[in-house]
Amino acid sequence: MKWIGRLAYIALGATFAWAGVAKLIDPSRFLSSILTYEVFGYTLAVAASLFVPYLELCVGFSLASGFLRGGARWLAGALTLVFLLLLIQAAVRGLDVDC
Amino acid sequence: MILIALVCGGVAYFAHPLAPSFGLDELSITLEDARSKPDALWIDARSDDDFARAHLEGAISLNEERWEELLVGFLDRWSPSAATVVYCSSQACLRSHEVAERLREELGVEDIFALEGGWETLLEAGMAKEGGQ
Repeated sequence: MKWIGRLAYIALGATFAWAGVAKLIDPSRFLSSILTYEVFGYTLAVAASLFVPYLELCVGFSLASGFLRGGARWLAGALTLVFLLLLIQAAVRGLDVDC
Repeated sequence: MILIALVCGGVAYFAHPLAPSFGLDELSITLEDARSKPDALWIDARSDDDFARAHLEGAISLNEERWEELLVGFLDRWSPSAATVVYCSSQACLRSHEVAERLREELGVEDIFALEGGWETLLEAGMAKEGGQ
């Protein structure tokens, strides 16, 4: 049963890492996506577009490798929660969001 | 982990060729302020297809895909004494900021702005309509 858990961590880590890499290739496009939610001001959105991809990459690496996995679990949960809240508020406000 | 991400983000800001700039927000102008500029030249920074579908009356197309080609038409109409307002699709679109910033750099003038809200704002204000012009 233990290997199922390890496999799940690797899959989850790979998902976060892939999400991070996709964003850090073109931070301007990610910035545009953040602005679509119409929640953050421009300056905060720029900071997030530079910071979040690397955080996702670190979280992905930690989840997959087991290094600092406890902290990575919390951060993964927090990132997912923020993303869900952004999606929900966008849906409620009728915003056209491409995620 | 957060510290590593902060450091990497900071390095990316200076080293990444596609990193966004914090300064772009200074180019923004509201529709109200843009309308108060006399004889402002309106620039459509959206794609050629979007421009062909509809655009603001009197606006000219200038986008980074065909910069050199379209810049000639812009310079024919541009006057240093009047403001220039660039718009793209929406609040999330950054093309207008990029075009406005590039124009400021290349022309050495400050009176060039990016419209907040872009085309969507123009539609909401009734200044443009889908399929118009």
